[in-house]
Amino acid sequence: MLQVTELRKTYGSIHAVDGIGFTAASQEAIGLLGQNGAGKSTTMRMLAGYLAPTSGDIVLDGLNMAEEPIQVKRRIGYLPELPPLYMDSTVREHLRFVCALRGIAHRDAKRESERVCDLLSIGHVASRVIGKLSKGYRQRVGFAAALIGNPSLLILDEPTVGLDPQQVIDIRRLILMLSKQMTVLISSHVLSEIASVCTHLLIMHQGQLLADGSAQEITDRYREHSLLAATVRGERLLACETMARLAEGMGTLAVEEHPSPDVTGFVLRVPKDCAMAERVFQGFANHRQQLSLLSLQERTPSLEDVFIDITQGRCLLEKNSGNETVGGAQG
Amino acid sequence: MNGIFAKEWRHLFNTMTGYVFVAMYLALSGAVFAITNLFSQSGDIKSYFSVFVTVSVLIFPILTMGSFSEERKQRTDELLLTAPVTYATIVLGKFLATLCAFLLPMMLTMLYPALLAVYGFHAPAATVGNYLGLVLLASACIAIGQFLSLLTDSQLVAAMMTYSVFALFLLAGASLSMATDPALQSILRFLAIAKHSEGFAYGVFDAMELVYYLSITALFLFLSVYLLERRRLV
Repeated sequence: MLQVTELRKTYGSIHAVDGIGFTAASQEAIGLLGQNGAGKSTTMRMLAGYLAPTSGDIVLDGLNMAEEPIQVKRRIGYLPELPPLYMDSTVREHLRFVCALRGIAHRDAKRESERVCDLLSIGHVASRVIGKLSKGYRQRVGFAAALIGNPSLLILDEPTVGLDPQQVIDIRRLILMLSKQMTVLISSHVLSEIASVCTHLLIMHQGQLLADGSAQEITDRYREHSLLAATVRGERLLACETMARLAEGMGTLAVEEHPSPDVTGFVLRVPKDCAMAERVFQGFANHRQQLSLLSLQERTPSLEDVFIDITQGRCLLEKNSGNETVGGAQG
Repeated sequence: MNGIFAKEWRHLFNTMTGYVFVAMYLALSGAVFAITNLFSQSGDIKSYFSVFVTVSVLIFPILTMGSFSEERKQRTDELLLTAPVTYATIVLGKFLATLCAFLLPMMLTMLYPALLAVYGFHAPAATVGNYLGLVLLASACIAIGQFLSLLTDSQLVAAMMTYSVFALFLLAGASLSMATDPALQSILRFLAIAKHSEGFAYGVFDAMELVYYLSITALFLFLSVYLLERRRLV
């Protein structure tokens, strides 16, 4: 089990990671989401022991990283965004070297290297020099190296970058399989990738952990807005004026292009339970001579909508899963 | 440490670095031996070493310039520094592999005293002393070069820095006879790293010089470990 408490990394006055804390179970896949510069890679580097935190604790299987770094590192497999590979080595030499680094006896190193080669399907390139391999293969060699020693925590920073679609599917399958044996922490910008393999999500923004829970929990907790999609037939200017008047003080309004020139699409982002649909119906009923409301559909915000809301500060943000409010509602 | 030693050794000889070093070492030592002994028809091995010790300072940066700088550039330092090994193990593993890469061509040059011995010029104490002095000098220079390669992610910059520092050492040795002030003399003598092996050249085992070289080696290995740890913190 991984326990992270009040983890902080500061560079001068910049808080790259600002007091984050979470707990991960022994066998689960956790997705670390956030925009560029959110602090994901710094967090991962601290968890892997590459960077020392300014303050805070990392405890893996009851061992504290600050007190027993070697023991903790022995339990961690780490694949950075750019796989750390020796380009002049063959795949086999590289994996044997990682075995030696992880304290695996020489007589067991061959078996361990073959095991990870099989998992990543790279056995057929084992005798090839890494520098001559494609980016996808290099990524897989880096992944294989991270799996050596069967770690209890596997940290993967953008693991599918540079892979072709089939390889992405294979890696996702592998991550799903591994998450039944160990804790897998994955960072990515790609929401669909995280959603497809992770049962537990962490959303970071500007060094802070803004959401922690399953996708369902997060969308439920932060679903403060509902989306209303409407299409209106009639003079565009009048339709826009009418919709703007209805949305005034209630939420935000976006106009969408429609193939038909006399039809205008609108998306309203309004607070939950504000009976906006009725208001729109009535508003357009008053203009039924000039405008026709063709459709009106209330849409449940997806995880992507919630992610955008959280990272753009539209939600009331709860620090971790506690009740402390660290942001304010807008629009 | 075995793993890091083996990887470093393989890296030196998987790339051109090791071969360039061995070639330059053998070319320079061969030229020096030819000039100081063969052409001048001298059977004194000390004349070979007195020149080669100074010249050898110029070839150490070839071995050390990429030691840490290349790891940083290729981001392979992330693999080393997140592995369950101490920083001291990493630094020592690299140091010993580099030192062994130096010993390889050095052992080949043992042919020179053997050749002189064939012609009746036996000087076993001076030969052993000179080789000991050279190994001690090499270990100090390699430790310094490796430390300097930690300061940058460019091999070229690391090499320039190492050459500059070693040039300073050679300059200190050259200006030693010109200095009259005793304080300045002792500073120059301390900096003149190659001069400290002169005692060994005469087959004299000087414990002070041994301590000098071992201290410099230990100091720079320690500084390398310290810098790695420091970098993790900031």
